[in-house]
Amino acid sequence: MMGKFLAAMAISLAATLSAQAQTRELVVGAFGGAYTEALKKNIAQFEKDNDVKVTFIPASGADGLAKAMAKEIDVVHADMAWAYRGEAQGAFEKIDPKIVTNLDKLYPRARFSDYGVITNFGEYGIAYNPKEVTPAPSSWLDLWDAKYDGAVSTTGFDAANIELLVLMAKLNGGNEDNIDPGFKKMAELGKHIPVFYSQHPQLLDLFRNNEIIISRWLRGRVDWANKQGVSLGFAVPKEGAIALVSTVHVVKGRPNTELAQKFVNHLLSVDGQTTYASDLGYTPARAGLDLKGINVPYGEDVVGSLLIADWKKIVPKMDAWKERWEKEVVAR
Amino acid sequence: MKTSAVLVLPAVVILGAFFVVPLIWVVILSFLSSGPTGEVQQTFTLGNYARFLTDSYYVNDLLLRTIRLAAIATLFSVVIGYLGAFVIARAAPTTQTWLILLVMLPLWVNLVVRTLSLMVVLGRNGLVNQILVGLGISARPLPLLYNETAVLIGMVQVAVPFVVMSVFGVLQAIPRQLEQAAMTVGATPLSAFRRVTLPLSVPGILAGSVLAFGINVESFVVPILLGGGRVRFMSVAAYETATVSNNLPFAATIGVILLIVTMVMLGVYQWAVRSAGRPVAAVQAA
Repeated sequence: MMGKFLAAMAISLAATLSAQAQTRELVVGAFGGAYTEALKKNIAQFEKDNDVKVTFIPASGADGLAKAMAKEIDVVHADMAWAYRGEAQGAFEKIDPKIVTNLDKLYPRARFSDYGVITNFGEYGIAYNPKEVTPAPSSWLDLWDAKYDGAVSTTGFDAANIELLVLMAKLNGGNEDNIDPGFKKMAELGKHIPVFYSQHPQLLDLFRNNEIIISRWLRGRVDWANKQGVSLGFAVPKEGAIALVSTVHVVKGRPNTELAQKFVNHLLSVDGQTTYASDLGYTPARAGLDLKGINVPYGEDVVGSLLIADWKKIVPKMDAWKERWEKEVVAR
Repeated sequence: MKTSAVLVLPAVVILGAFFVVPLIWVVILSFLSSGPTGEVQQTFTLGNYARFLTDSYYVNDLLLRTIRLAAIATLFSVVIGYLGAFVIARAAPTTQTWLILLVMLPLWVNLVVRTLSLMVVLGRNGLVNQILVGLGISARPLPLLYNETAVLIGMVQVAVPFVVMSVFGVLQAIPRQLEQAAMTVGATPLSAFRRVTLPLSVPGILAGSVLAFGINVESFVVPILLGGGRVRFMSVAAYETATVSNNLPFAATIGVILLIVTMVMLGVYQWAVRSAGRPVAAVQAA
């Protein structure tokens, strides 16, 4: 009896393994949640055309790079900092323009480097409670206004606050190489901040309870807050919105490199790019799309006006900057 | 091979493979250096330890704050947990079962969910503030969230069930006759408790406080959510050093320093409580 059972198990296991061997598998590390759901939307046709099964796993940031270095995934998503780190550590294959033919349809700003490409942009601006904040904010410096002392928030040391830090340095005579003026300015902001939010629902609650009336936030999240019944305004400051950047890369040393390149091309296709706008509210990286009826900022001007610092210079300094942030901005 | 050795084998293998080996790797990592874009360089250095130990930010703001908060939370947890365990131990058997269930209940709820619900209770318009303002105890809502007090409340909430369970077990095992005997020779209920039950329950207090301190000092979800980014904590710093700064060796160093300090503190504490308990036991024996 037991012997028969084990034999049946072995046969079914062998059958499963051989079935898997027939269809190739492409493992894609993405940000998870709604983002991955949007990527899944157009995947059936790609799978059929290329006789491949695409598996999505949550992997980004430190985790994504670790999985790429361990060659556990074929394609990985990243942001500016992790993209440069991965490139420097030799984790990525060069993007092949012969396969990724959509490359020349992109805005020039979306061409991250030879080793990756930006798929879409988000906008960080100022979220505010219109009952308490009048007139509407027009500059990033409005966050510093003494009127909002104790009722202003932002996150901790994340990519968008690094952009804000660099912006403040630039507005005060500095830049990525001379960051002191930026830290001086951010330290002033730190004194006004009661809580550095870490989760979007947390900031939503802070707005709902009137504990915060003005904050750096993402455009898409402000729409989400309004749908949750917390009515907020969203302002794009005159200095420009801070870019939320998503990059995609082909992992080096995996068996299906060509297929991975095709997948990147698929993300940059008309359908793939339109989905970023329609399902996620992000600005596509591809020019010339028809986005009628989709309420998303789009176009060369929009992409051109986004604030994106020189991350190649920033990445080697992030460890030191993070320590300064804790000492100078977070400390009261 | 002796039977006991066979029985302990699975535990040893699992701990060895999934705890000791990674731990050794972390210790080695803490002596390596990190390149400009986060690559781990295979050169031996004491630089990470020097960076931590020579900077008052890391020593005072991070390490000492972590230990201080964990110790205060442990003290509160032990007092609250002991009272709870005492009440349960003296309750009728049926009530006892229900009370224990009540204590265990929070452990079945995800820690993030529990902490988030605590945020609702402690918020500016939360239950606690509504009661305080409603009863006129405070004119304005108090800032109960996003500070050290919030983190302390969160840690106590996590640790109390563990203290209750460790103390309850020991209290159950103490024969009630001992206390009754003390009272028949003239001790008041309070002094009978103080001189008989309390000293005998020291092993439970010890186990409970070691558990509570261990849990509190490694706390991660609680300081992240309730601290509002202002209350620094070793575990959070180690996580951010790895995931934001991308300096894995320095993150490992933070972890190793916390581990060593915690182990030394627990060793000293156990020794202190044991040697404080010994004279009492000797007096009782005489």
